[in-house]
Amino acid sequence: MANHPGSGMATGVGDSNTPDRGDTPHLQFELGAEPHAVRETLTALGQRLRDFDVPEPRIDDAQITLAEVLNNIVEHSYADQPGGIINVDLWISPGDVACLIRDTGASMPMNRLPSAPPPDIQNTDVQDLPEGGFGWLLIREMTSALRYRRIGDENHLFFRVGSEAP
Amino acid sequence: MNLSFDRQGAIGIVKVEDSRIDASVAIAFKDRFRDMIADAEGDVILDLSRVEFLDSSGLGAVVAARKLMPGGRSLDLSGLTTSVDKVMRLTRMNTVFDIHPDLVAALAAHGQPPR
Repeated sequence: MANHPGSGMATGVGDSNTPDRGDTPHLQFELGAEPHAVRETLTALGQRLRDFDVPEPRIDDAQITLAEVLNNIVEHSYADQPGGIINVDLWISPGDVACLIRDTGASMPMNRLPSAPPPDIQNTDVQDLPEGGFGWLLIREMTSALRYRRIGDENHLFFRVGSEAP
Repeated sequence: MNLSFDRQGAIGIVKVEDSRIDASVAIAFKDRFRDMIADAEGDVILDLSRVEFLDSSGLGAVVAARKLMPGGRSLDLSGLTTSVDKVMRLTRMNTVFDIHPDLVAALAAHGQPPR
């Protein structure tokens, strides 16, 4: 496991000790919940996916969805615990990248994924345009098999980023 | 967050010199943009050709930039890379902003011939 002092991030590549099927590459990242650590993790993760020849569009989608999820954890789950630990696991298959993100922050409201529709922008004056609220729209559009579970004091969010173009 | 300002005729061009507009730089982007457009006389084009990553925080910063334009003046976008274009399409922000493939096209749309 390589350690990057000061960034709160460690990276590693799992090997045959991990309970995976066959030769599925398994990447693991750990970071403290803070915007610069999120940025560093996404950059490193993008490079690792490139190393495994994941197609560029899928790397783009993985970076965007992970950015949205990790930013939500920073801003909401760990609102009272800056720097709280987030664990990211990725499994690379020919058709998709599976992602599991775990944290020990506050649970989702009502212990389930938000279902609010995205902001309406079609007939909106410029000064009334929303500057936020698009995160879950992007996550849902770019992923499949999205599921959230609260297990003990942990949040577990799982999804797949695949090759379908929306 | 590095932005540069240029001018062609009455059109201002703000170019983002960084490759990512995300949560860690969203506030700096807004502040720098506000500084940049102090020198603009009319419409502005935001050149995003160097930006490879824009998440919802980055999108919010670009929307905030749009709101900083003095009344009646437009902020168009140019040079969107694939991932940034996808985020704009999925959020339907491509219906709110005029998006041009590159700076030459954007300037032409504002009546400025290529240099």
